[in-house]
This record gives sequence, structure tokens and C-alpha cells, in this order.
Amino acid sequence: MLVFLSGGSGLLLLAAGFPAVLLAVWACTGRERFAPFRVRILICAALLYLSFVFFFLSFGLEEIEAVGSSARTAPRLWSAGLALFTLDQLRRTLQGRAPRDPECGDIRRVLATAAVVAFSLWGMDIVGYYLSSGIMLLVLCVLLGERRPAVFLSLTGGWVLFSWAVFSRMLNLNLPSGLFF
Amino acid sequence: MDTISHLFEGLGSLMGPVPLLVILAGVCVGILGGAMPGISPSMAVALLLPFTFGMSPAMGLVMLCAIYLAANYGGSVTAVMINTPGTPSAVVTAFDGYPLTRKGQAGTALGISLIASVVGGFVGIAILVLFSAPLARFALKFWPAEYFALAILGLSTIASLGGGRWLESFIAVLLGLLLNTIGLDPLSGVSRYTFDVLRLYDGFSFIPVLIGLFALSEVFSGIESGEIGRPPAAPDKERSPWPTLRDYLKLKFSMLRAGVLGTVIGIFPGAGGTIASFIAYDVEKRLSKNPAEFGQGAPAGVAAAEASNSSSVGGALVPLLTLGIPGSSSAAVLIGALMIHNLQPGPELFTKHPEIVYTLFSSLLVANVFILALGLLGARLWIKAALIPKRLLYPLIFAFSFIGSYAVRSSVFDVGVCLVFGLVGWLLSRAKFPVSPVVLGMILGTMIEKNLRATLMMGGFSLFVQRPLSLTLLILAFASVAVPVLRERRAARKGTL
Repeated sequence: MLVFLSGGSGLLLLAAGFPAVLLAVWACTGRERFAPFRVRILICAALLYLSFVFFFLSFGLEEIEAVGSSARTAPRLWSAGLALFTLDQLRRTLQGRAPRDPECGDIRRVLATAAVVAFSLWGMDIVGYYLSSGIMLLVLCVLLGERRPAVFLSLTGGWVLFSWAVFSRMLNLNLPSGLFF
Repeated sequence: MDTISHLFEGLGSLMGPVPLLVILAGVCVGILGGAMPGISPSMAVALLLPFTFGMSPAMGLVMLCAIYLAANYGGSVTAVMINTPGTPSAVVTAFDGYPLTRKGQAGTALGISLIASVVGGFVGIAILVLFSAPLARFALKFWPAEYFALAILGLSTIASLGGGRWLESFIAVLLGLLLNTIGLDPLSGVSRYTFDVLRLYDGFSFIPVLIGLFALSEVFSGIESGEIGRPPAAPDKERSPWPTLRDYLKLKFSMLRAGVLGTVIGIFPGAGGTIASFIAYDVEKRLSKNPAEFGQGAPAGVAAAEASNSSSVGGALVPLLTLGIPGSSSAAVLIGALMIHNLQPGPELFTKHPEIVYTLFSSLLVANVFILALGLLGARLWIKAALIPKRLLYPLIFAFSFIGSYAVRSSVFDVGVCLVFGLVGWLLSRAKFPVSPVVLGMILGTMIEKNLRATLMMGGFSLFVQRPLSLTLLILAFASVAVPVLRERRAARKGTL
């Protein structure tokens, strides 16, 4: 089992377990008492999950014993410490002694920004750096409220030219190329 | 004498058009970055890191240190003129700087903040030059047990300096340490938590993580707060005279005192310019004959805040260069820069590459002179930087962050790491978990693990207690953990009584 979990399929399984744990915690913290601390509790749950996974998988690490220390030593120390402190944090949070979650701001715009950036990353290998970063800048400017085409087009064009001249020509950085250039 | 002659050699190597242009560019970019609210010194250094890839290690470091030093001054310009601190450490400068501007004495506030920055900078550099070489020589005698204890002390200080948030800081440190174990084990070469993903065999590269946590997380926070829609504050157009030499001389002791205090505080890992400026301001207020003037436009308040945050740069470089332990978030980015140029920060830097160390020291002196010149010439010009709308600035930060993350290993995977850590940093900051301890944990993780296991191999856990210095350092580390816990308990007991 440890061998399976330490491989690529294990990563997928553990990654799938992560949102499942968070969803379960989210569902359990809907009560009035815990609702103001929901994000903090979710962070604690995520950290506990992480420390548990690291500690558990440390048993599957190859053991090349060198007088009382091995590759398992540090991960176990850190994951146990993280779990301990996180549990204390969770205890304080559940007792209402932690700061309340801040008011939600423009989360939709944050997520939209992250999605645009992730999409541009995905596109980098297909259409190349210049086109993908140019489109990203253009969409981000519009998404963040810039309404003057002359401004966002010149910013985009300026950045593409700048990155070509400075990073590609001057610093010889091999930027990802795609279908076009 | 050796130090002074090395320093002159370093100065000599800077007397050419290219090195001077590199320092000037670093100072300009640093002041601009510092003046822009939302760009911290660590963010400015991290974003500009890829520009140094084509430079020699010495020139690359010189440029980054110039940015770091100048960004601390840049933050004060907007703090004084439009009550918008460009950097966190400039918040204290605004306490008295902006009231002076409101009274029609913007020139006085700008002049004092500039001169105090320069004086503080020189004090910090002087202490850095005087103490780092002897400390490095002393550190050469360290055994792995001492290095381990020192790194643990560094991390525990970072966490305990989190003040009321010590528990969150500890959690952040441990998260950084844990994430650092991903990749090949530094001693046995065993792969850990790589899940057969080849890109994970080298672990996470520092630079994308740094840029994600320091730059992108702040951008996401800015977008969430809705500040992109707010118009920037306009500066007062009225011009007012700058202080005379006599005005500056009246503040000489305030500047020197704050400079020394800022350097000492800067030496402690994790303290940085913000804590330095708060403490120096408080000390100055307590020593003042007119404490009521503080907050209403006291020139000594501006001088103390600025001198201390500028001198903290020199202080933060002491543990970085001599022990390999970063004294601030920006110093953590500098460690990444050193590693990219195949330089290992620590005492051996002084024996193997003394020319780089002393060129760096000399460049800081030159950068300080440039700050003075540029501050005198164009304080009002820098404010224009603060007027760049966030809706244009943020997309550019994304673009710079991506280039910086990609450039380290020419890997798109690293850019993804940068984005993920940006989101993680944003979520942690929202929940009031500090992000810089995560970075410091990741940076010091390898050092801690290597020395812990080397000590265990050499003589087991007992060696930590048998070596007097390691025992002392571990006791200090334990104390720095225990103090906030005890303080909190005492406060809770008082509250219940």
C-alpha cells in the first residue's frame, strides 16, 4: 500500500482525498458557533492532512541507516511538530480564541485572475510564451478594470517587445516556443 | 586594517561605468519599487532577480542589494507625501511624516527622511563591515551541532517575533521545513515524496516559491480587497523648503541611536525593518522631552523610523553572509540569488570569495550615496510611481513573476509552482498566518537536516549537550519559544482574575 501511495497513482488518490477532507470539514463547520472560523478551521484541516500524509508515507521511504539517522528522520520530526502545533491551533479556534475570518472581498475576481493565469500557463507550451503572456496581460487588464483599449494594447505590446529584447536577446533566456513562435 | 584595505579594493573594482550603472539602476528600481504601495522590498528583489542571471555573481548581488537598500528609502517618500507607505516599514514614517506635510512642511519631512535613511544606511553598513568578518572567522570553527542549534535558534526567533501570532508562525516554519523534505534526501540520495514525478526530484526551486509567496500572494490580496478600483491619493502640489544643516544636526543623536538599534534588530532573523522602525520610534518617543509631539509631526519620529529601517538592511546581511541565515524576507531572496550564482552563503564565502563580499560592502556605500543624490534631485518624481493604477501594475507583476520563476530552470512547471504558492500565500495571509516563516523554513531546512543528521552520526543526540555553544544556542532557542507561551498564559491568567 505504501509503495502504491508513494507512486504517481498514489499522488492522484491523495490529491483527491484532499478536497474530500476539506468538503467534509466544510460541511461540519456550518453551525453558527464555528462559521466565523470556517477558513481557519479548513486551513488547520489541510495542514493536518498534509502532516498525516507526510508522516504516513515516511514509513515507505527507503531505509539507508547511518548511525541513528535516516531519510525518515526529518520528515517525521517536522510532520509530527506540524500536527502538534496545528492541533493546538485547532483547539484554540474551536474554543473561539482565534481571530475570526476576515470579511470576504472580491473572491470571484481573485479566482478569475488565477484561472486566467493558469490558462495562460497551459497555453504556453501550445502557442508559445509571447502570445500566451500577451493574451494573459490583455485579459488581466480588462478583468481588473482597465477600459481604454489604447492603454491595455500598448501595455501588452510593450511587454512582449520588452521581454523579447531583454530576456530573449540580452539575457539569452530560452522562452517556451509554440506553434507560431 | 585588513578589512579597510579589502574595502578599498572592493571600491576600486566598482570604479567603472558598468558597476556604477548597475548600482544606479538598482537604486532607481529600488526607490521606484519602494514608492509603489503593494511592492515590498522583498517583492522588488524577487521580481528583479532574473535580470541578474546574465551578470557576474558580484554584479548580480550588488544590484539586488542596491534594490533592497533603496526600496527601504523609497517607501518613505509616499508615506510622507500622500500618507500611503510604499513598504511596511514606512508605516512608522507616515506617523509623523504625513502630519508634517499637512502642516505645509513636506520639504522638512522629505529632507529628514532622506538624510536619516542615508545616515542609518551608513551605520548599518559600518556595523556589517566591522562585525561580519570576525563573526565569519568564529563561525568557521562551528561543528554541525552548532550549525543545527544556530539554525533552530534562527527559526525559533522568527516564530517568537511573530508576537501574538507565535503559534501561526511556528506552524508556518514547520510547513516550510516539511515542504523542503520533498526531493532527494541531501545525505543518502533517497527520493522522498516525489511520487515518480521527475520534476520533484530536485524539490521545489526556491525562487518560484519566494515569488509566489511574496509577490503573487500580495497581488491576490490586493485584488480581493478591491483596492484596484480606488483612485490613488494625489500629492499636495505646494512646495515647502527643505531643512537646514542646523535642523539635521539637531537630530544627529536620534538618527545614530535609531541606526544602531535598527542594525541590532535587523541581525535577528525575521525581525526586519518594520519591527526595527516600530521599536526605534518607541524608544525615541520615550527619550523625547516632548513625547506628545509624536504622531503630530515630530521630526525626531521621522528620523528614528527612517534611520532604523535603513540600518536594518546592514543588520540583516550580517547573519546572511556570515552564517547563511537570512535576517529578513529580502535577505531570504538574496540567499536564493547567491545559490543561483553557485555561491553558498556562510563563513566560507569570506574565505573562498572575499572579493565578492567586499565588493558587496563597498557597493552598499556607493548605493547610499546614490540614494542621497537621487533623493535630493527627485523626491517628488518618485511619488508619480505611486500613481500607477493597480489595474496596470498587477498584470505586470504577474508577467515579471512568471519570467522570474521560469528563468531559474527554464521550466514551465516552476511557473505553476509559483502560481500555486501565490494562492497558498494568499489563503494563509487571509487567515493571519505569516508567509515569510514558510520561506525561511524552506531555506534553512536543508542546513538543519544535514547538520542534525551529521551530528547524530558523529555522536548522537548527546553531542548537542556536550558542545557548550550548541547547548547555549539550544537553550536560547527553547527560551525564545517559551517566552511567548508564558507571556500568553500570564495574560490569560490576568484576564480571568
